[in-house]
Amino acid sequence: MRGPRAVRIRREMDENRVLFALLNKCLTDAGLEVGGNDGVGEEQPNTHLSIVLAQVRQREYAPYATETSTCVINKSRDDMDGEVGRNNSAIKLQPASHEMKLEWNSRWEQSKGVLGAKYKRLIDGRECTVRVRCIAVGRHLAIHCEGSLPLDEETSASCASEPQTSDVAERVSIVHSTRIMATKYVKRIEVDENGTRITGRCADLPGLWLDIRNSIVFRLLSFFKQHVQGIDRCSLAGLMPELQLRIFSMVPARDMCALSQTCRAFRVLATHDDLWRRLLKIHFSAHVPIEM
Amino acid sequence: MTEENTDTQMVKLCSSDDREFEVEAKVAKMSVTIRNMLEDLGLDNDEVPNIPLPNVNSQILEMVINYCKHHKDDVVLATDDETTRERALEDIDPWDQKFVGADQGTLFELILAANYLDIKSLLDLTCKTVANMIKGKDAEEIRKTFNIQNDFTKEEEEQVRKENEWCEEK
Repeated sequence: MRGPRAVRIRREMDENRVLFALLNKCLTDAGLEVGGNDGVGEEQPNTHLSIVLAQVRQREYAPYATETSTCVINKSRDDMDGEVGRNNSAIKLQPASHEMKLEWNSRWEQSKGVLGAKYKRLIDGRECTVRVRCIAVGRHLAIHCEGSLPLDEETSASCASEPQTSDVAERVSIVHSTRIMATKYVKRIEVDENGTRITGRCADLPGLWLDIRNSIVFRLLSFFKQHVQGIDRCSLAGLMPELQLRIFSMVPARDMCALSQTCRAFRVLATHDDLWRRLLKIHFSAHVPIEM
Repeated sequence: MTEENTDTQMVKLCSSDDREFEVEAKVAKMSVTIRNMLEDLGLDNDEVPNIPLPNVNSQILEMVINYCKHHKDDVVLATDDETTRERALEDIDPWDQKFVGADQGTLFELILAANYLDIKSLLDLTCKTVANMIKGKDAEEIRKTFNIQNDFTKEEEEQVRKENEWCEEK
């Protein structure tokens, strides 16, 4: 029994490594500039593959920020979660990169991989530092974003010249997990005789990037937005839209009308077709054909 | 037969603030996320697997574990049609009611945890509780209850009010 299982685990480990390297590539392709060494000191170089994304180029947020780099935050939630970025070439991968070879250091051994990325961003003059960690367990990936934001503008201004700004920053973290199956994206794995080099081939790089974009980039954007606007993620307004919809799907029509009058974001959500299809069934079943 | 063995086995759950909780696999497996992870890890019998849950802090994880312990022997009814859901909105069992009776912050943290851990019954319970808090309130009351900022302009507000007039007349 042990034999096949060991092979399976071994294989999954290899797949995960390929996936992580792909992830790394995706983050780089997103326009994040991989920086030098500063900030990674606290990571363990032997077990963790770390990259510092020191500076975010304008084009990373190009799909979301139309005029200036800060207008991302002013966009409404529905804009952000909808069609944004669909036709923007900046975040699309070139067809040439659909297939690529990956090689990496054999020191990076663990099956429980951690991929770290860190970057800074100015939001309304406040420097926000965000650290992204992707943790893989088995074939599941948890993405952990931790950010720190200076307490307020005055603090930020007085500390601007000093490197210890982060000491007086408020720390916030948002974590969410996504299930990215390595097998879905990793096509072929070759390991050389002494097992130090593993080569993998990607099956669907644009697909992986789409997954990553939805799970990292969008989350980061809502993370920035919420914190600049002071919305607590542990509140009705701060929940992810899919959870808000879930809650809304449990209230009757009269309350749905009230919800749509509370704020812009809820107006969009509370007029969602799926919600009303259900309400029509419940409240007006006598007058409306059930199958629509 | 192996099913039974794996259910009495213990697993360690590690919260975001690095506290470890040792629970029966049967309890932990109420979370689909954990169940999948355990399956993926393909464990041997002797080892106590350690599952990192960086999304959940110890306070919330403890609550979730209590919930799962309380409900571990529940029979899962395969009824998920809308009428059952609607009816169930009214009757929440007293233990559950007490469980979600804490402050709003905790309630929303539980929603996030239930969503991440993929525990359907807990997600339903918590969402239902929020839905009950919405029921019967007008827009202003909802804003107050959930601390929502009114970002409509005067004109927009008037327009939305008109759109929803039909509902008020009832």
